[in-house]
Amino acid sequence: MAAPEAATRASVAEKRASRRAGWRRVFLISPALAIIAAIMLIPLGLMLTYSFLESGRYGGVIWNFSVEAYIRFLFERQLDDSLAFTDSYIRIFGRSFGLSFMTMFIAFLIGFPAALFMAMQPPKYRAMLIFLVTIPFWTNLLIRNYAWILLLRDYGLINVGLMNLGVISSPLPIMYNNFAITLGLVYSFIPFMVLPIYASLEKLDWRLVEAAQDAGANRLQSLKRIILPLAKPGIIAGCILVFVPSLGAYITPELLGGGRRLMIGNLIQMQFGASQNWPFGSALAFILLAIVLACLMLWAWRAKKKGEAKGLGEVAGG
Amino acid sequence: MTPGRGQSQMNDQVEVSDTPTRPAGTAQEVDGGAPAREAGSRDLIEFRRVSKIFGSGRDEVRALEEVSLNINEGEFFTLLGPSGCGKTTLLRMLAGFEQPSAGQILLDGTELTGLPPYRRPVNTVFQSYALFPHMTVAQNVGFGLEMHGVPRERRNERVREMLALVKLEGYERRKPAQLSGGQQQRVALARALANQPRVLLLDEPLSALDLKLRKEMQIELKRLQVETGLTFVFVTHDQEEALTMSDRIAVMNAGNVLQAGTPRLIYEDPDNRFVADFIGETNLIEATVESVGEDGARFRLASNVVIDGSFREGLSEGREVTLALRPERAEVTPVDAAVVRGLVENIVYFGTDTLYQVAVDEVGMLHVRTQNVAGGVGGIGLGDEVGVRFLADAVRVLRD
Repeated sequence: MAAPEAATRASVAEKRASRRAGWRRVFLISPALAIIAAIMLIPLGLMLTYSFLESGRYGGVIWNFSVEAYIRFLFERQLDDSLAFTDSYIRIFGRSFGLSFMTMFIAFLIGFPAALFMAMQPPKYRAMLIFLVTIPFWTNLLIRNYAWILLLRDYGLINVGLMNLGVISSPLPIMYNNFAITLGLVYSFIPFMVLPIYASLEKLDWRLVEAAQDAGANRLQSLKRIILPLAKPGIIAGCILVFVPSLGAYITPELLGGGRRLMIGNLIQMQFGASQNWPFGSALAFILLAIVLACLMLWAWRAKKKGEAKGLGEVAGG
Repeated sequence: MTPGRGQSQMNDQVEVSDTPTRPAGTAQEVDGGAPAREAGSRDLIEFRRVSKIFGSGRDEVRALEEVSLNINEGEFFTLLGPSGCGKTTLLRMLAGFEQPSAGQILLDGTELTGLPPYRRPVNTVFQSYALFPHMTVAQNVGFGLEMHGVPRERRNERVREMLALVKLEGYERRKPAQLSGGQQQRVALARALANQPRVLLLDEPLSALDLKLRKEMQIELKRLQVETGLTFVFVTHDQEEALTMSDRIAVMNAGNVLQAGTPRLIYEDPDNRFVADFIGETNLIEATVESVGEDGARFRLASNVVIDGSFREGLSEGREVTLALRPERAEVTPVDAAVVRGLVENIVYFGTDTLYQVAVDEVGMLHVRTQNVAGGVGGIGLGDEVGVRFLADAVRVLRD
């Protein structure tokens, strides 16, 4: 009976060792945890607190607990203090999600072929191409959006050029609308789409594509069945990195949308600026955060479920 | 897929006697079709003066130089050579991953040049296996069929058949990462065979396996080839692998096919120095032609000893030649009976046989292998003076 006993003892020792390793790990990552707490949790906590306070008359907050900010998102307080449903804020949220989704989609349509092209170049040119993709980051976002105004406005470069060529007789209305906002957002965030996709394509084993073609897959089929699935982690990362900042974008809709087509970012900015309603601004930021988190979790959960159904359990993880 | 269809047999006798009739000095352009074949077998693949140049200008690399080669239907054909000899390039051209810079490749009499890989009735087993990591074993094997629009039920049936053929039943739902190297190899084979290709290309498929597994897979591959009756074109740098598995071998070096023929022909009657040296162990001896007779020639060695050897077209008296002699085709004999004599410098015992390294004056070191049979040569020690006798038909003249 010595053997099982020894085994039990060994497993107990193992457990103790693994518990020790666990504490060791916590200790070693504590600096990282501290930084996350300092730069994420404290400001977020502050915001959460503010969103449940009353607003001061000239900005700031009054330290009384109130859910008024959240009620305001859905209801308008009438003169007789009764609540009437209003969809004006929901419409702004809807427009923001719509424009962000559009931005993400267009950025993918342009970014994926670009990343694929980059990954297929000889290694000595790739570093150069990455460098080119990052160049717009070197200039201030505000300046770059102003540049678009110069291009898009009624007597800007594009309209004047087209009129001189005789293609059009009067300026095209390409400014201060959803088109201009989407264009600006795609332009601003497309590097965030290209770079993660490039990173996953660069690691791709091109012999797999050869193997697919050898088995009878044409170019399109190889793209669909081999390249896209294997680039999926990069595509998901790219989509999130474009979608989320687009949702919160403030400068682009302000400048290219002319402030007439509000997005969430502008709405929140207004609460801390002209409207002097800090709790409502905080509440809006929190509602946005909650919706984004819920979307991502739903997405991950569905991908995992789909993967399991197909017997591809680990797909969602990647 | 009838088993053994068009299996070409080794017609060694015919081929050996066939060789000397070939014109001398055409090592560049070896006619793989020259050896006699079994009735009914025919050219399936034909390389016509195929060249491949990579890069241009100063970076230009000539990977293949006007290679002409014929491969018969149903044969196990091996491209053998050191790395960088062009064998993989030749295979990739057949698969469609590279286009020839000049020349033609014909399959069944139809020009392949210009056809993309997915339009060729050819499938490849890759060196790295190249299994799709995001698909199950069954999805990998069925991929080609799916691409060709084979309906699901027919596909599943075929996948089952293929997995049975490579002895991997029950592994359908595994992922490649969950398989051992040998199992991945089998999946790669099943995937390539599932499409029922006219030709199966194998690019050093065994090089990643350990020795024991490699030996098993060699036998397995040969079994599959016989069972399916398919034409296999196999690329390897391992001469033993080539000798044991192939119906015919093309030995390549520096972008040229140096000799093509049955393993026996390549081993016993190498055309040139490279082939003689690359395949097996060889004694290369410098000599001059002493006399040329009806069915043989006599050669004078540096030590002024005259020996008999094979005849080759173009030999003339007084010409300097290189002779090839396999160590196992020579014998260590008592001194007085032998023409060639030397001192034993080294003895290596291999179990089945013993290698004697005998230093012969002015000729150099001769390697002689003797089978260890009961009552065989014994009692030879280091430093002893011995004779070396060449067995009948053992001395071959090389072209260069």
